[in-house]
Amino acid sequence: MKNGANSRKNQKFRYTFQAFQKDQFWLPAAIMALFMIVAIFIDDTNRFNTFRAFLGFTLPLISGGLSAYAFLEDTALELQFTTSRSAWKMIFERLSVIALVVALTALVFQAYAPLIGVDLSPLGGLLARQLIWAAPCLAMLAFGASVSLLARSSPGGFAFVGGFWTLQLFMRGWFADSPVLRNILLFYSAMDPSTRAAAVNQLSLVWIFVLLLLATHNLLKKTERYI
Amino acid sequence: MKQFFGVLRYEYRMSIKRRSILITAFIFSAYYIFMWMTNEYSFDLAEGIANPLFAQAGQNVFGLNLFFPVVVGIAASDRAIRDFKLGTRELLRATDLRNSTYVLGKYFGVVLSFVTLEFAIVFLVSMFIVAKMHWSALFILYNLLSVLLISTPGLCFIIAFSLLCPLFMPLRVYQILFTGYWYWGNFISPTAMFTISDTVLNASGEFPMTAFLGVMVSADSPNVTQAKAIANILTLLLVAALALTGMTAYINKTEKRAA
Repeated sequence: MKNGANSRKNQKFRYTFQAFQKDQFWLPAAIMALFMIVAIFIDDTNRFNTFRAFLGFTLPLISGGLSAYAFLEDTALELQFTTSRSAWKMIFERLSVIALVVALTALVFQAYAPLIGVDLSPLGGLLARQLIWAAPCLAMLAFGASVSLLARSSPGGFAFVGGFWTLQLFMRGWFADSPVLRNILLFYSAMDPSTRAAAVNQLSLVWIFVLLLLATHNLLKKTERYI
Repeated sequence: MKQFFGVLRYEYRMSIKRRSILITAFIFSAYYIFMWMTNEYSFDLAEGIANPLFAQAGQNVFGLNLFFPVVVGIAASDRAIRDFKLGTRELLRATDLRNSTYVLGKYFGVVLSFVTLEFAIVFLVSMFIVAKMHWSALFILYNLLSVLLISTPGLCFIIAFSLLCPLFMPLRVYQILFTGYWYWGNFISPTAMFTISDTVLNASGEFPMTAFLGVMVSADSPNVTQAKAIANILTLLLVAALALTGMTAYINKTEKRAA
């Protein structure tokens, strides 16, 4: 009995991995490698900024981009909907893989910093530093998933995610100046780390993640929309 | 020619009817109007500028051009690859449609659909501004001309790559790389890091705006001559043509291999 349950679990796990195309795994690593190369060749004054740009700005885009494709590109989606698996389980399986890949990428990139003599302490202590990328990545993870389900199209969802990210990037100064709007600015804690405002921003991004996750769940339950 | 216009018409209709893209474009445009109204976009005007209203219109279109091409590049990127995924290419291969005609029809259909969308957005935005600021109605015309001068060469450039690249790389990879490219390749200062933003490959429309309308994005923006702006536009169109040639060659090659 136990063996049977384990085998079913293994099959589900294998399916989740197979449902993801391989680029979901190598894309974050490839972009990280690009930033690693840039960090070597860039002048000393901008080297730290390369690390900040990857962790606080680029990783959230990757996270949102990958999650926009997490559900609707599965060719066996209709079959999945006919089973009795809960929507939460499906969300967890799909999004946790992306979160894991993004987290590993962030950690490897940080481990690379001392090797080329970059001090990341301006971004905060070891644990505080993780929130700089984790909070916006979580928000974008749920944002990409919910918007693509809302649009019933992965490219349509990503168009919104990409537009939103670009708009925030260009308007970051304007967002940061507003005591209210800075709480939805993805890059605020990378721009102004180790402050109380950054902590509030991270907390609000985590709340946004939770709310968007609930929205994703509600949207995914309406299975007839995607058939 | 008949086949070319047939592909173009079909692609145009398919491309412009996508609700999710239309909604996305209009949401960001509404936000942009709000930003414009709160004076967040105000660039420096050159001394002794000949036509300040045209310069304002140029700023207006350039402001929209900061993010509109991101939506366009992402939305256009599935236009060609979906024909392969859905098996439409197989059907088309059975006809006497040449690959070059297919590529050109597809390309111009997509370009025209997004230029139409931008015209519609800019028209609405400029009408709104004219009504609110009590400016001359010429402002609307200047805005539409600015779309042709500032936005269209960049759109032609990015759409060519958006059709070509997903043929040989996963769609989402292209889309993420494209979003990053738009900022890196057009807006990052060359003093901060290696970028192509100061070369004739800049697709943001900054060069024609500065050279022809006298609008500078920032006080330390480099002076752009009209010759450089023309070279910029021609280079973008030439590179787009090369990308389309590459796309035709790629389709020819893969179909030859499959036959």
